Amino acid sequence: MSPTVLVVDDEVDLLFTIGLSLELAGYRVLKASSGEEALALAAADPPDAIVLDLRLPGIDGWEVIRRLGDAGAFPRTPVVLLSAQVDAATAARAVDLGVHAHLAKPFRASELTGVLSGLVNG
Amino acid sequence: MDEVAGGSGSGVHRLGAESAPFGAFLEAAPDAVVINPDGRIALVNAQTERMFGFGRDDLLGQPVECLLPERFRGVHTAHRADYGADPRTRPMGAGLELYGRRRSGEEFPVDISLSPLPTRDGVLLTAAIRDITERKRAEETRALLASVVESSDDAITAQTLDGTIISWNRGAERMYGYIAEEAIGQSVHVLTPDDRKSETDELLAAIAAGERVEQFETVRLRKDGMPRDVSLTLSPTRDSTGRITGASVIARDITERKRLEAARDQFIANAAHELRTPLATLAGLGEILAEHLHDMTPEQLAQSLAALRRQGERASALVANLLDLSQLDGGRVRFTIETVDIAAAVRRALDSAPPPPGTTAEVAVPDELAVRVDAVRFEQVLTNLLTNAYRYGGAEIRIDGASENGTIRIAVADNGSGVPDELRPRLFEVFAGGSNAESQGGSGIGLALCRRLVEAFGGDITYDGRPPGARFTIVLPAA
Repeated sequence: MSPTVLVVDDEVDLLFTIGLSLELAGYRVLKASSGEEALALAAADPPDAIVLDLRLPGIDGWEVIRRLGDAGAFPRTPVVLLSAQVDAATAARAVDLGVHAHLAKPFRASELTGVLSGLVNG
Repeated sequence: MDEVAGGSGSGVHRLGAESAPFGAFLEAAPDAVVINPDGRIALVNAQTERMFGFGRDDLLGQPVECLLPERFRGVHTAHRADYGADPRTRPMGAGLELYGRRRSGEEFPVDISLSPLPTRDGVLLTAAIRDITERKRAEETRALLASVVESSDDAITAQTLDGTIISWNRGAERMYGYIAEEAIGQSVHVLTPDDRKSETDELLAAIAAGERVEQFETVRLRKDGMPRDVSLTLSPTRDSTGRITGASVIARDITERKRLEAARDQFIANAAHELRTPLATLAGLGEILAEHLHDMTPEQLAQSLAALRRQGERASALVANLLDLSQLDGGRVRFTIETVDIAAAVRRALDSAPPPPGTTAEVAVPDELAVRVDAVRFEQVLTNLLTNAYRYGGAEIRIDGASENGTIRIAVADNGSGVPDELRPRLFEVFAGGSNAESQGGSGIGLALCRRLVEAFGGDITYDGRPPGARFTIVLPAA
C-alpha cells in the first residue's frame, strides 16, 4: 500500500499542484486548506507524513504542529514545513521543534518528493 | 601765523619748514591729513594723495569735507566743531561706518583716528585715515560664511582633538536639541550612543592623523535621547602653522532617508512575497507537465491547465498593479477625464473579468448614471473589486448603482465571510495584508490602487463590513 501524505495549504491551486506531484510520485494524498481541517483529517486517517504550509487562515502551521504534538502524532509523523521565506528565526524555530524538513516557496516538485522519500519508508 | 590761521597754502609750507622732523615723520606715516582749526587741510602726505587720487595742491587749503561723500559733509562739519571744543586722541565716529570719497567719486570705507597736534600756531588736528576696503571685504566674506554655516540645515560643528565641542551652529541646535551654550565645552561623547563611543574615538584618531572622513553613517543621540541616523563628514582644522587642532564636522540627518529605504526594502520584499504564491504553482505545474505529461489523466491535465491560467493571470495582474501604483506615486499617470456611463463601464468590467464557474454577478445599475473619470482606469477599479470578490467573497456578487444629492454610489458586494477584522483598519494600504497576505492570497495592492485612482477622480472608496459578506462602495461626484 502506498504511503499517505497529508498536504495542508490554503492556496487551492498550490494545494492541487503539490497533491498532483505527490500522486504522480506514487503517494496517496489527503488535502486540507486550513489547520483545523488538517487536524481533523490527521486524526481520522493518520498520514505517514505531513506537508504543512506555515501561514494558514485561523490556526497557523506552528499551532498545527503543537496540537499534533499534544495528540502524540508529532514528532512521530514527519512534518515538512513550507514557508514563503526561510529566515533565520523561522528556521531556528523549526529546528527547535524538531520539524523534519523545511522548504521555501517556490520549491521544485522533485525537491519535495526527494525530501519525502527520505522521511517515509514507503 | 596769520596765514596758518587763515588756512592758506603758505601756512602749510611754513609748518613744514619750521617743524622739519615732524614733517618727515608725517610724510613717512601710512596715511595722514593735518587740518587747521577751521577745517581746512593744512598738510597731506603722499599716501593720502594716492588714496584719494588728488594732488597735494588740489587739497591744501580746501575744507576737509572735500574728502567725504557729499551726504556726510553737513553732519561732519558739525562734528568737527564739537571735536574742536574737546580735542583728544580718539577714533572717529566710534560705531559708525565711515566713508571717504576719491577724486573719481568712488566711495570707500575708512577708519579714522584723530589726534590733536599742538603747534606754536595753535592746535591742529591730525587725522590718520586708513582705507579698509580689503578688511571690509574680508569681514563680509567671513560674515557670509558664518551665515551660510548658521543657516545650513546640516549640523556644522567644530571640536578639539580631545573631542571638546567648540563651535555649534543652528543646524546642530535643531538636529541635536542642544543650544550652542549647552553644547560648547561638552565632549562629543554626549552625542554618542554607548555602543559607539569607540567609533567616535577612532574618528578623532583619524582626524589627528590628518585624514578626512566622508559620509560616515552612524547614529547620534539627541538631547531628548532619541537616536538619529546621521551621515558625518569630518575634516581636520589647522592653526596658522599648519598644526592640526581639531575637526570640523558636518552632520546630515538621514533618519528620514533611512526610513524610506527601509520602507522601500519592505515594499520590495512584500511584492516578491506576493509573487511567490502564483510562481510556486506555475513553476510546480511546469515541472510536473514537463516530466509527467503522458502519465496524467485527462482530468489532471485539464485541472493543471486551468490552475496555470489562473495563477499566470494573478501574477500578471499583480505586476500590472505594482507598476500602476508606482506610476501613480511618481505622478507619471496622465488621465483622460471624460463622462463615463456607469452601467456600460460595469458591463465592460464583467466582460474582461467574468465570474468564475459557480459564481454569479447580478448588476443593478440604473441607466443614465454617469461620472467624470478616466474610463480605462475606472474599469480597472471595477475589475479589481470584482476579482477581489471572486477570490475572497461568496458565490453571489451584486453590483449596485444609485444617485443621491449629486453623488453617485457604486457598490460591489458579495455574500462571503467579509474582510477579517484584523485587516480592516489598513485595508486600503499597500500590502495591508502584512503577515496575513499569504494566507489571504491577497495581492495587497489591488485595493490600494483602487483608492488612489478613485481619489484621483475626486471620490472616495469605503468598506462596509455589515454581514452578510463584504461591500465596497465607490462615491463619486455625478457628471
